[in-house]
Amino acid sequence: MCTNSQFFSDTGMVNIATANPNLNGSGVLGTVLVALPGNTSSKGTIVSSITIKATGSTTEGMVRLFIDDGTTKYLYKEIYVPAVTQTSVQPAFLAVLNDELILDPGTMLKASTQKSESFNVVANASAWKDCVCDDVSPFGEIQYFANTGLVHISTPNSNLNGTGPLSNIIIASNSGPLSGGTQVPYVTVKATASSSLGMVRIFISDGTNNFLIREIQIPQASQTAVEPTFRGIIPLEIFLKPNHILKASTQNADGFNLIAAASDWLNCDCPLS
Amino acid sequence: MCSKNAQYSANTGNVTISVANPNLNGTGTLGTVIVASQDGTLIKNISIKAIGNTTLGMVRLFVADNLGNAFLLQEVMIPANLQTGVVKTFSTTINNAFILKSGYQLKASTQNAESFNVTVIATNWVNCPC
Repeated sequence: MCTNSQFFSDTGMVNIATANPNLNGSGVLGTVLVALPGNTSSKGTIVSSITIKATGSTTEGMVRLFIDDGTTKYLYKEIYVPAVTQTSVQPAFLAVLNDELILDPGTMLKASTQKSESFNVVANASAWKDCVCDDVSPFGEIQYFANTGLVHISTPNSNLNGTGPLSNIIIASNSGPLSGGTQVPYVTVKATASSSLGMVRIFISDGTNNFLIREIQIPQASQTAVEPTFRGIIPLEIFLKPNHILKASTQNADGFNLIAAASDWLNCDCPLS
Repeated sequence: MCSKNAQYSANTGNVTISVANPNLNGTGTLGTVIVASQDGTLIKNISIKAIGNTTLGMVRLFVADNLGNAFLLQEVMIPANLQTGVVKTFSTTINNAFILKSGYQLKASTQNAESFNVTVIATNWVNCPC
């Protein structure tokens, strides 16, 4: 039988804001992700979901995704963008595409916007390497380690562009070349007191740039001895690349705990094919 | 040898809480329901069972890190209930699966000075060596 594979989280992120009405791949495109090239033994990259999150108000338009094989840029999908006026309590446009996409090594996923409006495009992806085929090889397994992320936020920050006070929910572990990353299925948001109408925002950071991926509208709620505070469970199903960080901010000076029940994974070593 | 499998062992957590604590910030009296260990602990469900009459109130669940900081995770509203020979005390089960890092703890408190057993059904796992 053929043995298993090693998996490595490969989060792709870009901000696009330059208008480009072209469907033929010309004009300004942002590179969301470059599937690891074959000379690293990678056999490809699986993109399990793509998040498109506006970082401000939008007018009716389109975001386009292209697959670039290095020679030609192929239009892959168009995502209709409705007119949305973003406010402190109205989330900006969000779309999550769950169609699985498998990219050859070296292939690129790119994005453009019809209008000169700002969008983060985040690809939730993982690259794999094949272990050698061997009837008896025991190699190529994965170890999982629980990694619970905890943070309390209360400093107001109305920015959607990743500036201002942000707090780390969880940092994806990096314990060496076999570290695959961190899987975050969901994040719990729990107010620690009464809340006013507002927003909690979740960002992905590569350590330098912060990309908005979710806004959670917070209702006005009065806490008493018998009235619970706001609580929301935000499904993410995201793979964080080693050293990437999940961060959070709050629109208003209300207190929230953000709790990520996550797991790191470590590939077992194996001879690669 | 690198095994596909991990080893699992039951880790059932129990605590009785009865000291009133209205705080949501993790201060005051908290009972420790379970301590995660080995490569991590998977909490499958959490049961809260009153062991007497209850008045309108709240049970709160917290996750505490290795430094002793407790973060409010969930509140469970407790109804007024009069226990008799034929009327059961309050009981609820929370079925959200939750993974807890080794050394972290699940804790609980009660708004009113009433007694509750908090039980966690969980398993620890240990990865087989590569």
